[in-house]
Amino acid sequence: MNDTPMTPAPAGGTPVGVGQHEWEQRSTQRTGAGTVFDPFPRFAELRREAAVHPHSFFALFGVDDPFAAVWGDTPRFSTFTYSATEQVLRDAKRFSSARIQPMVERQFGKVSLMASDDPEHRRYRALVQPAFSRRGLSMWQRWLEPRLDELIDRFEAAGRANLYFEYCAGFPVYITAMALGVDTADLDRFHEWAATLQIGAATPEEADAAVQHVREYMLDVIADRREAAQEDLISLLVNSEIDDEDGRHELTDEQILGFVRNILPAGAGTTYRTLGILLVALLERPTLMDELYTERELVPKVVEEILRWNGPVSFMFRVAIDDTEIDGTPVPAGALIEAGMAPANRDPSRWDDPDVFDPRRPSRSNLGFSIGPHFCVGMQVARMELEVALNRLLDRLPRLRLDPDAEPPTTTGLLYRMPTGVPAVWG
Amino acid sequence: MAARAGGPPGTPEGPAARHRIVVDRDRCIGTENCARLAPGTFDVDDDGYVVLRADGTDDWNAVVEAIESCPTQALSLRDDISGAETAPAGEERYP
Repeated sequence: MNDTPMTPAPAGGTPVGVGQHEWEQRSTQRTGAGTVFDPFPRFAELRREAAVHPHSFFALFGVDDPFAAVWGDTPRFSTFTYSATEQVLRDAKRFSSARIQPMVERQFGKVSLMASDDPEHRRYRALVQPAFSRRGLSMWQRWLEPRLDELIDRFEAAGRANLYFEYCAGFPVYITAMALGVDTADLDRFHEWAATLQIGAATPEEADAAVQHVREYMLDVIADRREAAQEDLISLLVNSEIDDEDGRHELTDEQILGFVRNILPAGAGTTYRTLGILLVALLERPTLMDELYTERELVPKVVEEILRWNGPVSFMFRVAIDDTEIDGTPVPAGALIEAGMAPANRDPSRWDDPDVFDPRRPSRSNLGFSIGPHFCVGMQVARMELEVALNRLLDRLPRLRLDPDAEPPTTTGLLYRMPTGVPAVWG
Repeated sequence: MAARAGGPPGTPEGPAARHRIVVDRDRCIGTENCARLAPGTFDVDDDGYVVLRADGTDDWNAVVEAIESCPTQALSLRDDISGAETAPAGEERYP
């Protein structure tokens, strides 16, 4: 495999990220889009060498490290096997999320779901979990279904569209915005703020500006919902109480803003990119696409398999609390560990033919939504969105196939994965 | 909390008959991953944390998958005959 190039050279010299807007291209480019295309051969090679490598993924792939300034000369490690990655993500007693605070503080503030350990983490998670539970799904569905039809109405008659920008981009941001009480007229601005709040995807100045915009916008919404609750996430939060170092009290505006800043990029970015990656995989497999039209029970299985095979987030961050080891590799206290979900999800010791996209393979849980106490809080909503959105395309657009006149799409990115586009025709 | 795996009467003989599901609610974070995979066996209470249902049944493989894939290892199986309590598939449990 040594003759496999790490990444194909970009056609036009300077790598360009993915997006309809200049800010979006810049932001995706910062975490490896347009530089890294197919990272999986290199992941496999590195996994064969060692379960754990004493470098960051960015260094191993020759991509500029967006976190270099935050971590300085902190020792860096990355994991490549299922066992090593699972261990790091599960064992919060040895691998802290609270200590990744310096790299997310600008985006998420002092306290966040992502950068906290128990008991704070459990307390905060319990507040938002109900909105993302199965009982809470109807709230999201109520916004999702009309939105999908509205999007398809816009391009159905044309017989062709870039479904990544015209469909996938059009609903996760939208329903997240609805849950947060954002006006539809402000969607584009909101999309930009959401993308800018993804860690590693913006300069500190850009992140600070997005935080400021979200604060100004959301303080009005929070004040509104304190006056009159609606069926949305902000109303749920303003009516929640928390028991913390200040005793039992209603959530403060700052605490609610913390949730918003954390949930916004997570909800808006990942689902959008995952559906795009899934559509590319399906369009590249016309037989499977045909089968999906008549065998709809395959829909949850293709969603599950895409999360394993080419998921939206390649790795998550933890800090070693004490000197420890991961599957035999010594790791010093304070080291930053990148738990490699993407390489773990292709570990041949857990899956036969791991590089094959096979939705009918025997079901075994994968790390696409992470694992352990920080397992994706939005998992139920994300699965529902992906399944409903794919089904709606199949309901309305017959014989979906790759647009023969467009540049064939591929997937790209290192920390965040995404398609370069989804050019499709139908009918 | 423990209950017979696969639910009450109607449970087939075999693995389901000799195992009990053990729930550690202190580990549960309410993802409802189990209730998604084996909705006849698992549900959540008003606080959103896992409870076992007394009224439903699921395919045994679905129950095992639900237990195995619990993100926080809040679920395990106890073998009634040997008394062994294990996370399924013999995976090590992290403290």
